[in-house]
Amino acid sequence: MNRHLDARVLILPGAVLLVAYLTIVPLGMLVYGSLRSGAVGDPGATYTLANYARAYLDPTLYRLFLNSIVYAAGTCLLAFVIGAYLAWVTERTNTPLRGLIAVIALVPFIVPGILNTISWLLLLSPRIGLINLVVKNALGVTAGPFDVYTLAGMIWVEATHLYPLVFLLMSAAFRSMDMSLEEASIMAGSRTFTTLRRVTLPLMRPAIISTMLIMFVRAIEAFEVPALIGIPAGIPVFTSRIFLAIHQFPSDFGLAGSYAITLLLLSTVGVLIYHRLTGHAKRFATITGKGYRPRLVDLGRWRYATCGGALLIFAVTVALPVLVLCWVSVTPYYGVPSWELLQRATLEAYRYVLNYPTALVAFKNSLYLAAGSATAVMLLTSVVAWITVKSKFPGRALLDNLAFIPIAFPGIVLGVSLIWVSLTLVPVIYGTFWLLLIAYITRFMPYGIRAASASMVQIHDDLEEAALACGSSWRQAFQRIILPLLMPGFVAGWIYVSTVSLRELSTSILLYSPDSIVLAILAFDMWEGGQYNYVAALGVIMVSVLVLMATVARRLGARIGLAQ
Amino acid sequence: MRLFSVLLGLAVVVVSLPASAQDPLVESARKEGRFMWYTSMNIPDSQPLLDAFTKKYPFIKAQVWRGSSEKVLNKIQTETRAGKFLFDVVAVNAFEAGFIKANHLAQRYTPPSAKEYLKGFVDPDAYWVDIYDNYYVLGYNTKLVRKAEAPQSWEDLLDAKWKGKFAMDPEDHAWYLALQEAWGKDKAERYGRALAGQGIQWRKGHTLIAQLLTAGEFPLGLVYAHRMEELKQKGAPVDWVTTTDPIPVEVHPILIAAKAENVNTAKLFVEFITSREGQALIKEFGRIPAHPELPLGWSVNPKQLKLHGVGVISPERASQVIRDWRHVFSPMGF
Repeated sequence: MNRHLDARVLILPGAVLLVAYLTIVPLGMLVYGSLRSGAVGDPGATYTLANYARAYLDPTLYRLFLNSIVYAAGTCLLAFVIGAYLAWVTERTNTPLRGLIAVIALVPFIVPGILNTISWLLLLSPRIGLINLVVKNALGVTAGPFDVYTLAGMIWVEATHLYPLVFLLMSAAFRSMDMSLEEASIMAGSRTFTTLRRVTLPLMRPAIISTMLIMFVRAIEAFEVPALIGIPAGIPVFTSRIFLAIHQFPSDFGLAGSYAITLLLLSTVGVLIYHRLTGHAKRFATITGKGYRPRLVDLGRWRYATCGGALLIFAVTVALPVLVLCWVSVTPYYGVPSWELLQRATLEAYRYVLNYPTALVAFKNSLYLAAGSATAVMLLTSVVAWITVKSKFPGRALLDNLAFIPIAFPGIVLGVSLIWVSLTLVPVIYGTFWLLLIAYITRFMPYGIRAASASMVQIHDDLEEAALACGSSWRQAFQRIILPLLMPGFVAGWIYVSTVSLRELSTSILLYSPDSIVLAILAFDMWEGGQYNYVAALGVIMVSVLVLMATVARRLGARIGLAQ
Repeated sequence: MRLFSVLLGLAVVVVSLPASAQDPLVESARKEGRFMWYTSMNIPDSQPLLDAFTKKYPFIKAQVWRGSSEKVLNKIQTETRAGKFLFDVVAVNAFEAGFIKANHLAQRYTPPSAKEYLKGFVDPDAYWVDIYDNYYVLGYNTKLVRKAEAPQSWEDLLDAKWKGKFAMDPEDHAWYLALQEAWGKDKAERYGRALAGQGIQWRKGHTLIAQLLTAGEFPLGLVYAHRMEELKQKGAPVDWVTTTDPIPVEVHPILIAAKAENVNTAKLFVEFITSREGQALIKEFGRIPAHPELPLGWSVNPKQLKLHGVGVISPERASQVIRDWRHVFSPMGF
């Protein structure tokens, strides 16, 4: 019995302490900084509420906040509809080309945000947008139908970039669905879509709310699309304020911190709502001792329609922007595609990217960091999700919240806090791979916890209890029962974290050293260097590598049974 | 005779020794053997500079850390507040350099070639030397605007026909500072307000502005001259106006850390990068070197331009310019 207790006594508090440490240190820095009149470490600084007064007594802030809410809600809904549709089609129906759909659905992820946004500018700008030009020529009208420089444009661009996350999380949830409940509904005379609406979706409530929560907070804290589209469109958002505070001279972290507190509160409220709505976890448990293997819904002839729908989504949201990237990467400068420019096509950009100084080191570091942070995040959050979902420990909602709120830290604030902590406490890891790893784990823990927690809810307590009753230890039950059943969520979170970590820039830039440089820094470096076609070439290479990796992983996964 | 040949032999040996062996700076640098450079210069430019430097002094292990100027400053500030001077040399934009100088994070050093530099490109207090420049010019798309029709001065932009046709970056502070210095604050503000009334097309980042200008999204934009020259050479339909007065020039100074651990190597590097040899490399990368005697190979000679160097200013002045700029232009939409 003692031996059994040991693992639990070590692992559970260990995970709690780790989460607490990873979150509370930067959180402390953020709150402390927001209450000081000068930067952290500045000897002349005193305690003050002036930062909050400056931040929140300004009436324009509320207009910006409203813009942010509309923008985030729109993005959240659109991304959810697209992502959930693709997940349903690939996981629950007999639609043809499901494997291909599942791979392509990940592509928008890997395209760096700047590139994705600019591709859409080149497609949907009223003046030079290719789609508008085609429509204008075809219909002989003077003005194209689309304008990317609008709130709708911003929502479209952000949502088409974020839907892979919805796809991943919802796929995991569909995969762990219990068919017998749906069968009962169909037996009782409901049609397929009624069953989907009345049985399947309500059962998936934890996954749906998890996904919505992440999408919403992410869209609120996003700044790429608001900077590249919102500024020209004259639609400022909440994060514009944080941007201005940091781009002052010197950066005003106190002010930035007091704005970030709003994001923190918002995330916290989100987690509380999630707990309220999914409180009776047992209602959502579909993985029971009775066997839960989800079966595919036979759509009959409709399966061609669902396949066509998915392909249409890809044609618009993947093929168009990627084609623009390809075009940009082979032309010496950007111009609307023409025979004249095509004759000057060159592969020089690819040569340049492949010969970029330190490109190889960056590629290696990025791969290690992607795999390392994804594995660490998912292992850690799986344990944390067990505590928050399965245990009765007091304060488990708080723990869930601690794991989630790093989503609201501005990247640069996290970076500065990690510089400070590592230099004053453990200077050896400063500038090393390990500090980056810690940064990534902190930054991506929120995505891990939502994926793991939504999947954990689906696992019925009976299975674990049966294992314990048969004399297995908690560790054995966790390792042999819980983790394998959690795999869909684990893999979804893993894929997400490993992919976005390839793009992480705002924290890495402060923490890297020449030996620990990563791909995202190179991409940004090229961007600032002024050669857009080089960045586009890098984007095309990254997309190709990802598609290759995803295809191989799927083949391998199918063989060892992970994909099922 | 024998003595003579021995002496001659010795003389040959002494003369043929690398010149550097006699330089005490090189000898001290040899003992340090390494240094760390923080810079806002992008990697394809900064790395070859370091490579050329270490080729010349093979006993030095040189490292570069690269981030945008504001990130460089954040990093330096946080590190030094935690009590660490991890960089030996730093090269950033003018405003950030002013902050570094004012906060005693740099030390004095005047490299030998500094005397060849023009006034405004070397610090009279000896804390910094400029290494390369950005010229803020009026670029135009030649398919949309014919050369004869293009605005010839900043004031021409206020013509009603350019309403909604001119793009700028929301952080073109240095350009505005140059106007304030050249015209006086009041005139600059009047002009700024009039220009803001023209419906400026704000776009984030000069890379994006140059690209969209080439593509024809807008006919005019505030851009860097060397970018336009590069695009022209590639055959892109762009050109720039040489007659605007002033043409703001943003300097990119290099400074040595106040407590540089490898101070001799740092000096040697500053000596190298400001020398004709180092400056010629910078020109090769398509940038505008600070050294005044290197021909750029442009269709226009920079000496004929009304250049106005935006030097290193105090942090208070920089903050004020940013406030003025935001007040006049509201580039973020509020």
